[in-house]
Amino acid sequence: MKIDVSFSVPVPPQQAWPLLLDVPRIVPCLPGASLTADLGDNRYKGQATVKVGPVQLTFAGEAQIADIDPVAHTARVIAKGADAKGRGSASATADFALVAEGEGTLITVVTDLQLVGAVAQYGRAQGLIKEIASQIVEQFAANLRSDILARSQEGVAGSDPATAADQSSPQSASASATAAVAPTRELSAFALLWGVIKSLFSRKNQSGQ
Amino acid sequence: MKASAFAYHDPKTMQELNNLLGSLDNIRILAGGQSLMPMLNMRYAFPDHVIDINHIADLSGVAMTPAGLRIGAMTRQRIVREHPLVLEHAPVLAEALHWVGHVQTRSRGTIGGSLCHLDPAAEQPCIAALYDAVLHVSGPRGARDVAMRDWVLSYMTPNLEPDEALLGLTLPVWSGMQGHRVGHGFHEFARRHGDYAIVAAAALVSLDAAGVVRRASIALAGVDVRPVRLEGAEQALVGKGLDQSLIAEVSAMAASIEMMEDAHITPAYRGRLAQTMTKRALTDALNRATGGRNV
Amino acid sequence: MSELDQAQTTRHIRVTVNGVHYERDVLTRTHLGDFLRQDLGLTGTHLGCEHGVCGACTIILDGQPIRSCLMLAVQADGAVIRTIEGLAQADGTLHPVQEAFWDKHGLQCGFCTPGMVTTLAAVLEADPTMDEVAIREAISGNICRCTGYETIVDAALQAASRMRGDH
Repeated sequence: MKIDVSFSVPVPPQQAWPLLLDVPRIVPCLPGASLTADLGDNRYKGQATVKVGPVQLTFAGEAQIADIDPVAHTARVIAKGADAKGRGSASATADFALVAEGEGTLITVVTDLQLVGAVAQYGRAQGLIKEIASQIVEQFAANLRSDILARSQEGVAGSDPATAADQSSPQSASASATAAVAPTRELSAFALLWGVIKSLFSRKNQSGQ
Repeated sequence: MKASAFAYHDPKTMQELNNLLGSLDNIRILAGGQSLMPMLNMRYAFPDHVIDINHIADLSGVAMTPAGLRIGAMTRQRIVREHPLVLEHAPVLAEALHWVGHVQTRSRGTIGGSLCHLDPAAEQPCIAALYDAVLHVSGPRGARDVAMRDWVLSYMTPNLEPDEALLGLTLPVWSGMQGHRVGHGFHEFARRHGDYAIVAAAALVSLDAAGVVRRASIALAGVDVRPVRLEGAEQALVGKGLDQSLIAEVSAMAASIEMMEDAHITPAYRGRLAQTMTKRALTDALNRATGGRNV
Repeated sequence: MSELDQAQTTRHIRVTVNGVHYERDVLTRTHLGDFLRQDLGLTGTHLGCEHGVCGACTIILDGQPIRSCLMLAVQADGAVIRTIEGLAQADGTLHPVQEAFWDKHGLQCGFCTPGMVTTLAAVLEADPTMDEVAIREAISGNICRCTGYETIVDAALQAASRMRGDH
């Protein structure tokens, strides 16, 4: 199943790029996801919980960032996870691309998702899975934007990350630690409410006109 | 197939329920069970905890309040369908329940369960949207009311925090203002009687003594993840004399809204069904309003 | 799940079925249809689909026809249940619906029959004045693969007539 999503962040590609590669920092921005181990060499172990309507699925597995091109600002994430109760597995290959958009960056993600085993029954609901994926991405983008804003307010963003790290005082370091978004258990109600607000302005709800 | 193992809880009070909801993960609430049990038996859903709320007192009942017709979440569909207050003040709800499942499922199924399960084609959420119902939610942080417009967050996901539960809903009923008569209609298309609707349409119109529409509400089920109000069509009705040609004109608007698509039904076909069901529902509403009864 | 404790996976229940009191320990995940069949040996209630569409599992619980596959056995604690085995009288006199199914040949393989008869017994006891339209609607939740429903409806109409005391 192919899933296309995109979102924007208010910093230029040269700044967005290192942020997105800072996996331990951005995984908490992804609703329902948590990092359990950094295996080095751009490989990570983690867990993701997703609600598909009334059903809650939890996958534990590995993700690897490959084909990193720091000039073109593209990368590929290869992830595989298995359901905790042995009901199946999911594997995904996600191609990321960052493109300048005004003063910010447009991030596009093209994902090829495969479900295997009992959990594959949800794969029949393709439209639904795509809607859930885009809601996850919207929440991710919102969290990431808050995170970027918090970091820029501390003067950490807006310069090369190495220098920024030198510049950060103990005070701003602890402030930035608290500003990092806490891992969410699953899609938060806020995220879904945001989805509602967005959908109020989408074509779908302009009924009868 | 049999359900996989889960921890079963049967709280006796709302306090106990709130505590459980706040402390556990991967839960499904068991109300009437007519939607949850098939999912459990087929292992489509596999919650770690099933919370049976059938033992909590005061969650069912039908009463008229100043704000409208209040129905407890655990009220069985069979009771709602036959209740004198529903027949008198919101007969379109009783009519919709004719289409909900079968006699066996209505014995156990609850209106609250349907409103929380939120199958896109379900009839009861459609009626709640028709009336701009207010839903009453309870949780450890207290009680809150949610407008039906804000109730469906996404596919089969109600506006409930993980530790909240639905207590009931209030339908602000359409009373006959002086000289006005209210008519209702409900029509559904499904492959077999009792199946989830492919498309269903509900309509309420209030006509003045001259037959001019003073107020109109049209809601569709089965076209989106949430019931859809045809606001454009409603506005096109108000201030005009209601007749078959106006009905045909506004029903055509039902076909042009954005429809969801699935493996079986194309948006175009769904649109045609929406148009036809809307036309039938409005025709019934017109006939009932001009039949001289205050409904 | 190793952390599930006994009280959450097993419960003690008391039910009355066809006038007989039973007390049993049940797994909380067992549905009522399986409880009646496996635990009580009342295999007259059939399981056709186990997801609430076929009606073969219909029983009468606290006076109402319900799908026994869509209720957990633990939820029937304290309930009064009638199954197909309990419709006839103690002396063997058939229920009017059973009698009518016999007369009108309202069954072939018999798989849907307990659900059909139980549903009709419940609805006709509540309202024996039901007409054919109402009868067809009442059994719309019971699927039959053999008869095409005509003899079932004939039987229901005859039973209704008898239960009204027509002759």
